[in-house]
Amino acid sequence: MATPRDHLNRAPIVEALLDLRVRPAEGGTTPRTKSAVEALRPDYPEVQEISKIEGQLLIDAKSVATTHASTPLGWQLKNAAAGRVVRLAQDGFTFSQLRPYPSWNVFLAEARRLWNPYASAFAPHEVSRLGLRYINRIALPANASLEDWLEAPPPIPPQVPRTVQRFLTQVVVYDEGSSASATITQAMEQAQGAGVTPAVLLDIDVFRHGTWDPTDQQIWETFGKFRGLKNRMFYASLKEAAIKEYE
Amino acid sequence: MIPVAPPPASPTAGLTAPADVVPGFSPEAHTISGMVRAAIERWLESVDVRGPLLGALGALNDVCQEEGPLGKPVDPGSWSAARRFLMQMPSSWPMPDVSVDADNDIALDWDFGWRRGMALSIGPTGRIHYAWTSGSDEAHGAAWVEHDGISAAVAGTLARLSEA
Repeated sequence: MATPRDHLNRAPIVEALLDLRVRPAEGGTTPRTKSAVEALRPDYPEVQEISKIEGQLLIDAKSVATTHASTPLGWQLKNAAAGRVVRLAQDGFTFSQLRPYPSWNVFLAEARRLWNPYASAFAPHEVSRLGLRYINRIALPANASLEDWLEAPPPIPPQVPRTVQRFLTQVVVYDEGSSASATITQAMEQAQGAGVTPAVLLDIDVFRHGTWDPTDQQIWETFGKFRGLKNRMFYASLKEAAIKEYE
Repeated sequence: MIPVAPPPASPTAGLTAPADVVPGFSPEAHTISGMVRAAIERWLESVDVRGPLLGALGALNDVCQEEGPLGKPVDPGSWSAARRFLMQMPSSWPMPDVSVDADNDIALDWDFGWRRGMALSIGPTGRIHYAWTSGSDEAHGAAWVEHDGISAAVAGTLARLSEA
């Protein structure tokens, strides 16, 4: 396990996501829900409507029949220059910060700023799930050995070839202290060509189910606790050699 | 020691239900979701543990093609929520009979013998209404089709009835 730091100057975060799932209000997308889009459009000029498309394919001996239906869900707004995306939908709110990641305080403040017009316009009954996900890209030097970088690399039995082309591990764990669960995924793709640095993706998604009033300040305190848990898992997943690359 | 017992209130999810993570927008997020999806699909193709599930999904498709009691097809949202519910069921659970109920919702029924069974209906918003009977005991309740798995209330009832 690497020693936790207060700050990494070159943190390997490629995406941070803050997500609130909600029990939707009746009525679908309406002019009132659109008001949230208009309020945020100056900072998020690229607006795309998102729909839920349900399709079915039925094949029998005589024919093939298809049915589909499209239901408006909400909008996805983007500020490409700032690397920010926000999803405003009937079933929830997601804020994504792509590289470069500024800081926790800046990230959380922007999410809260965006949440307010969403909550006013969509007026969800309640919040049913909180999620905080960080995806990190840990570059591996040439001839790196996974066990020198990862605390829990995929186990390979002795006498099996040691050269790993790709791997995927995923565990879902529960933390009694915070009553939160976390999905920890480690993935490595096969190198895509000469000169491309291989990398392990370390993906930590902390979440908790519950019932919160949309105006409940405890929601944001909970995200702070999620961040602490996420950081603990991040440093616990990496060896010291890996962390030193990002100081 | 690595304890595997789930916390009491957590949803139940079978192996065909991938972990519910916040959908991301970066290329790395797409890479991870693609690798997870491919791993599950390859696993499904490599072992025939989901035969009963595929039968239940086929029955679900069948009933959704026909007009329900209200004279219209089943709402695609009900189909989607019921499909998610079936996919989340652990493979060790008995598969239900699938039909359309009087409200045009998807009905799932488990019959475990004389005066022992459970029925639930799933509507377009993913709202579940369920009722169960066990001897002289009866109860009913409501839950939601979750993304992470089957709610503890529904899963606990089904497990208890099927093991009794």
